[in-house]
Amino acid sequence: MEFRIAELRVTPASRRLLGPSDEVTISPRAMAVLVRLARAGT
Amino acid sequence: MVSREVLLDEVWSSVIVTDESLTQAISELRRAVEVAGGDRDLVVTVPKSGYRLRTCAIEEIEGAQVYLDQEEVLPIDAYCALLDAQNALIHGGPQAAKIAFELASEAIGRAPDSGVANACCAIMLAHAVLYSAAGTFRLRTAIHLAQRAVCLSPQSSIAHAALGFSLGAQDGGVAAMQALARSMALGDETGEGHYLASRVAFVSGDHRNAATLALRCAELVPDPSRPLFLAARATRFFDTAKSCAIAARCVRTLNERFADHPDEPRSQYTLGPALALAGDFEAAWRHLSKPRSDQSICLIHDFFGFALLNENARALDALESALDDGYRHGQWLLSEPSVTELRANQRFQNLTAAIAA
Repeated sequence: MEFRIAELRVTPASRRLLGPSDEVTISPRAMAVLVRLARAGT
Repeated sequence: MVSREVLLDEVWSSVIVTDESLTQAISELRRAVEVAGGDRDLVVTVPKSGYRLRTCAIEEIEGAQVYLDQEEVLPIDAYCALLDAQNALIHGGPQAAKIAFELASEAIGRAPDSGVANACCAIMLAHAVLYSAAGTFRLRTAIHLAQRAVCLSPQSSIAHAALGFSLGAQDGGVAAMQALARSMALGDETGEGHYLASRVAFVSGDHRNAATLALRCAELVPDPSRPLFLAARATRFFDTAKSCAIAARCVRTLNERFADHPDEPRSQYTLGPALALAGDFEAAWRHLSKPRSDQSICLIHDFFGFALLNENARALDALESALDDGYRHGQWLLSEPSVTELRANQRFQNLTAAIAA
């Protein structure tokens, strides 16, 4: 099965990482890449 | 560090893509971070290998939320669990449905009031029941999860699709098709409602409707091999030439997938019967004769393939092994175009009776 996502928005908790703006939206694929990298650590 | 190959495989598992897709996603990510006033160098390129994050960012990422269609919000970790569940089911392999169900359950644990998480869990559990003898009581659990998904997200296409599929796995009744019709009416952008409706129509003997729904699904999903395989089987009941043409298209799609996912179990076990449906019996025989997995979902496809080649003894061996591994989708089995010649076979009758028992 597959589900699709409208968009991902940055919330206050992630601003330290991604920047202070409220306006940022990232496509689901880009967000999935970010999540995968974050899970792997530095 | 995560390699480019791993990122492409995990993030684009259901789609055939080039390296360029990953490069674009990385660029988009860096641009978004820069626009937000963050550190553009957050994502570090590891030459000739992959990417890593410059700072340890797990806690911040886990604080993020995902906005789904219908304004539903998921914590990022629940979203990741659903992505992993989806990947497990798409690629197949040992215990795929069970693993997918466990991951979807994890998503519910993190987001109990998410309609999408409950719907995904219901679908995964229904798959697990049908392919690993998880027991009919668990099918009732799947229906319960799907009903809860509909209550939580009444405008969600996937929630109604889950309800229709779970009810269809139970008895294929009118209520199942009503729920699936609702799913499609709500927009079904993922194609899942169409695919599951096609499965329920197929099992109930409405082959023309099953074929139409599966072909529509093939237009909606990134990887059309799964609905094309279903459409070819449904069409075989009323138009053999068209069924061959659809199966040939399915084979082409599967061969394209092999280029990127050479060991993907689902493509491996679909190819044999798809080749047989396309009329390429020699290639089908070669593929089906290779060493096989002992998982029920693989074995049942071997059964379909050998039956289409009129290799009844080998077909029934595969069916018996599938039953031993927990295959319990009796309604589906009797609906297959490949079993027409086997209905009078005593061993086949004994095996199907064992499923009913």
